[in-house]
Amino acid sequence: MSSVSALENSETAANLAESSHEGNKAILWAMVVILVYGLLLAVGMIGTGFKTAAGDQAKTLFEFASNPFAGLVIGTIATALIQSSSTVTSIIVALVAGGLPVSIAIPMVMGANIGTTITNTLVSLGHVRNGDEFRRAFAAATVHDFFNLISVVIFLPLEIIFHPLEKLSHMMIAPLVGSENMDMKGLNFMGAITKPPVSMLKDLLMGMGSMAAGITMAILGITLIFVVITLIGKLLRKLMVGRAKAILHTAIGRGPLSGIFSGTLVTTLVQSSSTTTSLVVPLAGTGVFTLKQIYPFCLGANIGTCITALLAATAITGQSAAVAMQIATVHLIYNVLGVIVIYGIPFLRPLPIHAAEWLAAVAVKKKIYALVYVVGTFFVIPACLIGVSAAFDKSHPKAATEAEIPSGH
Amino acid sequence: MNTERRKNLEAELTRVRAEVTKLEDELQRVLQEEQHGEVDHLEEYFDAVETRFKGLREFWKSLVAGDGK
Repeated sequence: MSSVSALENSETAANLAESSHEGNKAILWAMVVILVYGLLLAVGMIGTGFKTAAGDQAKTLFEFASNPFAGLVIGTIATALIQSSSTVTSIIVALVAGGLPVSIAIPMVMGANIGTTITNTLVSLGHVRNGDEFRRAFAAATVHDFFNLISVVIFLPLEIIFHPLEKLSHMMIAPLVGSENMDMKGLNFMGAITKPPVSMLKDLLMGMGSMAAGITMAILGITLIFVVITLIGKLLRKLMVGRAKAILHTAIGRGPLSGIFSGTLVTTLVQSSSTTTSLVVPLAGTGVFTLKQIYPFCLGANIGTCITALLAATAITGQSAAVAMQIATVHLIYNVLGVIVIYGIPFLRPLPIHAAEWLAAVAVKKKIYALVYVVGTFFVIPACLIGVSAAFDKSHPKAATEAEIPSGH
Repeated sequence: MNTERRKNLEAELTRVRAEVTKLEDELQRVLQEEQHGEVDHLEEYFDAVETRFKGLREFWKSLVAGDGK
């Protein structure tokens, strides 16, 4: 009799624990929803703030970035410092909505792709004590870096000369736009719920004068976007670990396309490419997963991370909504084309693997080279590029202006 | 005599090739089992992104200690 009652008690305890677990999950999901709303609000705040502060001068304000290399470097350094491409691309979306020309924003998006790869490279440095493990982990981290660098080497010159990303994104957005003036009617559903609080905040701050109000709104927005994306990442990692496991189990033994899809799916679920590209570093470090298997997964992460900018673009209302969606679409097209071109062309496909393996072998022999690589790639070379492009702009002001990409609409 | 030896060698080669294929399949299966095993412990890796500064600290310590050569 007592054993029956003990069994009943343990079943009740298990049921209680399960319902409490489900309750906790529901709370966490509610928090995610609130945070996503916070992300949309933040994007709206930055866009409105930038527009209020800059007025019609947004283009002039970003004149210094009209040189595509300067834009690329800004995107790279900003993302390397913040360590979140989702944050930087969402801010870029908001700035475009506030008047930053799409042509200037495109190299910044490319730079964000490079900058975000610093996170998993730093994670790989933690494996330094074990030579073989460090070599595998560092190669797994830098294969993503080299892929993104090659992608920029291919697509930035093409964009400067032929503007394929700007044109293609414009073509893709056009059917979604209600009329010729690019006023998005169908995609304003999110904007409708964010506009009232943003307008209210703007009205509250306008007493400071439009310039101060705009700057304050933009700063508040950037702070909010940083906080919410960090918290969303933490919560989704808790909530999505089970799903991610199921996706990875399914992908094992199914080839590279499955690797790309699983990388895309897991990154979409956790809304962070840093999370997915960092989680493969220790997996590769153990030697159980090869670099060839890790590589397509990282490419999928590049595609999956575009969801945040697309989501951010839905927060923008009015005429700016179209250009906001256009730059978010540029991010997606750029990453998809990168995978198709670099992974699709046989002689380009192994280049990131060869480069990562070579660098890892060098870094194992002389660890200082790993540090030189990180500091050089993400900070010193970009800073030098800024200096060179500034000097070039000063000596060839006309050439710099000509380098500006004409608007696609 | 030579024909018989050639036939024997061909048969032996076929047997060895089949054995190698079997071993490769077996190795692939074991590798995939190991991979599933690692994925089962994904919780341990999922927060790897949070360890980036710890990683940098570890690396710095190792570099300062002269392990870096």
